This record gives sequence, C-alpha cells and structure tokens, in this order.
Amino acid sequence: MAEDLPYRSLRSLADGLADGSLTALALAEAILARTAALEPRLGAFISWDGDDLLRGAEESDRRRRSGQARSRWDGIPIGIKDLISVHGQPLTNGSRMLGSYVSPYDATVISRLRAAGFLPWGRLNLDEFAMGSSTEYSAFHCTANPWDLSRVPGGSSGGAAAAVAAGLAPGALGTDTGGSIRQPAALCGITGLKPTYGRVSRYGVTAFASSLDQVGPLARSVDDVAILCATIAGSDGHDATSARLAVPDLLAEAQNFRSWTIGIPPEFFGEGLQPDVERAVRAAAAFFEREGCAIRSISLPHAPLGTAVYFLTATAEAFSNLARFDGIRYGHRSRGAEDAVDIYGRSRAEGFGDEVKRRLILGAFVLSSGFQDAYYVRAQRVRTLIRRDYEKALAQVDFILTPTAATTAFPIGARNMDPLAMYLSDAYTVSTNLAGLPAISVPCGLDGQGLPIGLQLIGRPYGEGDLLAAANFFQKAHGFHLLRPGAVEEGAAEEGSS
Amino acid sequence: MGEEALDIAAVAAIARISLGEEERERLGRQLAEILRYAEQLMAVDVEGVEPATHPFAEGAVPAEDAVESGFSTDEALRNAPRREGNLFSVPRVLEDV
Repeated sequence: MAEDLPYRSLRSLADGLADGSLTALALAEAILARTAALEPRLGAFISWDGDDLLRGAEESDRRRRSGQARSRWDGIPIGIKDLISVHGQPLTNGSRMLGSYVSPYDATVISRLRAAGFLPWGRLNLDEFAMGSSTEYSAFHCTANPWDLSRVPGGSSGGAAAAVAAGLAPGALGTDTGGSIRQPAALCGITGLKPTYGRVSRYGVTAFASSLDQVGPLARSVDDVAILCATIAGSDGHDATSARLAVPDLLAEAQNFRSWTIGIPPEFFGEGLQPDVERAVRAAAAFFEREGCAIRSISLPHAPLGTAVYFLTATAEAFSNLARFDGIRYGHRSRGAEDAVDIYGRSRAEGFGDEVKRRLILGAFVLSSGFQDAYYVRAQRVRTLIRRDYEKALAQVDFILTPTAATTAFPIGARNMDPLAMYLSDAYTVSTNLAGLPAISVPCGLDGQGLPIGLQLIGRPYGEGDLLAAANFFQKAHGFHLLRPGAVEEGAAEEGSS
Repeated sequence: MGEEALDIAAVAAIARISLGEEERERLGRQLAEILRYAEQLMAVDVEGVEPATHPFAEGAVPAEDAVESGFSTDEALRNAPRREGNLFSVPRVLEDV
C-alpha cells in the first residue's frame, strides 16, 4: 500500500483516513519524501513549506480523533498554483516582480478547501503571471514533463499538472485563461476542468485577463476533479463576476450517463493536428457512438480566429490588471529610481520577464487612441461571433468533442523563442474562454512516442455535471487515467534506495 | 497596418516599462509579427455586431453594502518595499517651487 500511496484517489485516501489505516501525517510525510526525491529533476514547485503541511496534517489528525473532521477529505493535501493567495505563504505569480511578497489573506477557493479540511500544499510553478503554455516563461525554472523529462509539461499550470501526474499531490488547483488548465492536463496525462466563467470565485487569484480567467481543478481522475470542483464552486460576494446560482450535486451528476448528442467541429481537425492525436480523438467519438450517443458534424466557423481575438483581448485586460505592480505598495522596487514616476518604469523593467513585457506593451497599443477601434473593439466584435457559433452549436448538441491540444508535449526550447508558435499551442482551448464555457480535458491514449493525448469536451454554460458524466463514462471504459509516467517512475526507483 | 504604426518606445512608456535599445528592437520585431497575425480579423464582417466585453450578459453583481473587517494597518503594510510608521515611503513627488 505504501508504494501505491502517491497514486491513490481522493476516495481511497478518504477511506483510509476514515478506517484508521492511514493518517494525515503519514500521507503528508509520504508526499514530502517523494517531493524531496523527485523535485530536483521535475521542478514542479517554486517553493514548498513542509512544516506547514506537517502542522496542518497533525491538526487534521487531532480533529478526526475527536470526531471533528471537517469532511471525509480532511487531511488530504491539494497542490496550489503560485497565482492563488494562501495566507502566510509566498505568492510569486512565477515572477520576480513580487519580490518577497507574502499573502495577507486566503483566496476564496482556499477558504473553501480549508472548510472541507483539505490542506493547501506547495507553490506550484507557472509561466510568469500565467502568460504562457509551457512553464518556460516562469522567472524561476522550467518544469519537466513527468512522461519525458526533456519535454514541457504545458502551461501555464504546468507545475500543477506535473505534480499531480508525478504523484506529488493527489490533486491541484490551477487557473485557465486560454487553456492553462486543460492543455497541461492533456500534456501530462491527467484530467483538468475549466469551469464555466463565474462558477468559481476569482477573489484572491492574481488577475491576468478578468473576462477570461477561471480557477479549476487538476487531478488523476474525473471523480477527483468532480470532488474538487464541488468543493470550490459557488457564489461569492467578494467576486462581482461570480454567478449567483446554486451549484448542483456534481458528484451525483458525474454518474449520470445519458445518450448524448455530441458535436464534432471540423475546424478543430485541420492543419497542424498530429495524426496520433486525431486518431485517438476520433476513436473516442466512435466509442460514444457505439454506446448509443449521436454524433453530429457542427460548425464553429469563427473559432479559428480565437487565438487572434484572445491576444488582443487578454493583453488589453492584462495591461490594465498588471498596472498595480508598480513598486509602490508591494513587490519589487528598483533601487536605481530617481523619482516616484521613475520607480514604475524601472521596477517593471527589472521585475517583469520578456513575455509579460510583450503582452503589456501589446495591450497598451491595442487600447491606444487611434488603434482601439481597429484592434480591441474589432476583437470584441469577433468575440461575439465566436460566442454565437457556440450558442448555435450547443442548441443542437449536448457537448462538443475536440482534441485538447494539436500535439503532445513538445521538447523544452522548441517554441519559447517564437512567441506566435507558443500562442498557437492553445488554438483548441482559447475560444471556450472567449465564450465563457466549461470544458474538460481527459486522457484518451498515448502517441507513438508514449506521450499522453488529451480529449476535450466543451459544454453549455454551467453544464459541468454533463461534462463530468461524459468524461467519467469514457474514463471508466478505457482506464487511460491509470497509466503512469515512465520517466518519473524510473526516477523514483533510483531515488528510492537513497 | 499596425506594425508600421507601432511606436514601441511610445507604447512602452504608456505601459511604464523602461526598455533598453536591444530590447526595444527585439520586442518590436516580435510584436509586429503578432500584429500581422491579428490582421486576419480585418477580413471578418463585423457590421452591426455588438462587441462582447464579458462572456455572459448578466454582467457584474454588486456586493451588499455591509461593513466587513479588513486588514490591520500592519498587515496592509507588511509587503511594503519601504515603510515609515504607518505610511508607504516613496521618493518625493513634488518639485521645489
């Protein structure tokens, strides 16, 4: 059982904690030992506070012994992307800009995890301010893909995906602005859900593009993702954009198979799609059809414009959101500044990396007078067209089935010098953020090189339950989620003797 | 159109990011390429289409106007790069007259 501990499901861990065969302390110690052994080659974390985890685990064990467990999940560690505030812990956003900033409060999603007894664990690596698709734009280091250490884990939630895939966390919270949960989940062979815009509070989460950002879970099974989504979802008075809607029983809904009508958009099966990926995704569609679902070809004619719209939208919003990082109230302040205004320009020049600078400058440009109508406003109009395409399609089908990413994990260094090539890594995921829709990525096989492939299901607004049910049904029939990354397992075996 | 119009030094100044010459040249080249890519939007017929600034029509929901406890002064100033007493400290802003 000890060997299996890093890969046990949330329910299995909860059962062990309930019947006394496992303690939160033993679980925390096992995770810390494995993290210490694998981190040198994986780099999934920016930092972690082992003492905090052990303290939290001991408190959890005490609660449970006295019959005060907060829920059956009490004592299970959940990894946290270093863009989400955890009281008393550092918050870097993958940037040098924050200096030695320590969060003075918990994000709402963290308060909700704690209310169920989950233990926030570690600060997981990301592209700086979540701007990137590989973690190569992290100011600290690139995370390795547990399936092949010479490849990227995807991004921006690459640290979260790699940690979960490598058994360093039973689940994790990430954020998704253009694919940042789904694409790394696909590249690391795990499951990731971007909930509907507004389903989960963004309070305490560093804002990148406020009309696109959404927090969501990454885990090793659909069931685990459903448990975490149910824990963090729901209306929050601290976030004016959080939907004032009751959340249905996602765990029950995740079990409901129906004979769905499923849409396949040809726009997601075009040029640049890796043949192995296309085969696996089409096989998944054929599976649903055999099981009694109806498959229909639908059209999303404006979706291929998603990357261009995303860039003009997300950079404009980032330009506004990241104005707060000015070296005055917190974060890095340049020592070379001569006057108050000079602090801004120099602190930001020193604190931000290239990708963030590119995006902020582009954002300033698309909002500047004379260009705003041609770029920003036009992008918003095309965004309306993209949304209408989805509305029309989802009136005819229950959900849409596509690849999550056009390729499996690419080698470290392959795209980081070519910003446009990196942006196109999210071509199949960005349009759902523009339309605000929920989407899930679930493993659907391995390519010829043994790298995981992700299947994306896109649903109706607040239709997480249906997505979870379909993904769960697919997962149970195939078991791709049970495959383990070879590269990191070999690493674990070598380290195990030391 | 935009790539010729992109005055990188002027826009970087608006974004409050000081750039060196090499950086200006490199970022300018990369941004021009991204703007060329974005130009495919110019061909889309958007006549009469409303811009979408948010995913859904509901918009923002105002919070209730209720008193909540916030941070203590010490907590709020804990991450200040420089502090004097209960204040953030910055170089002087006003010039001598």
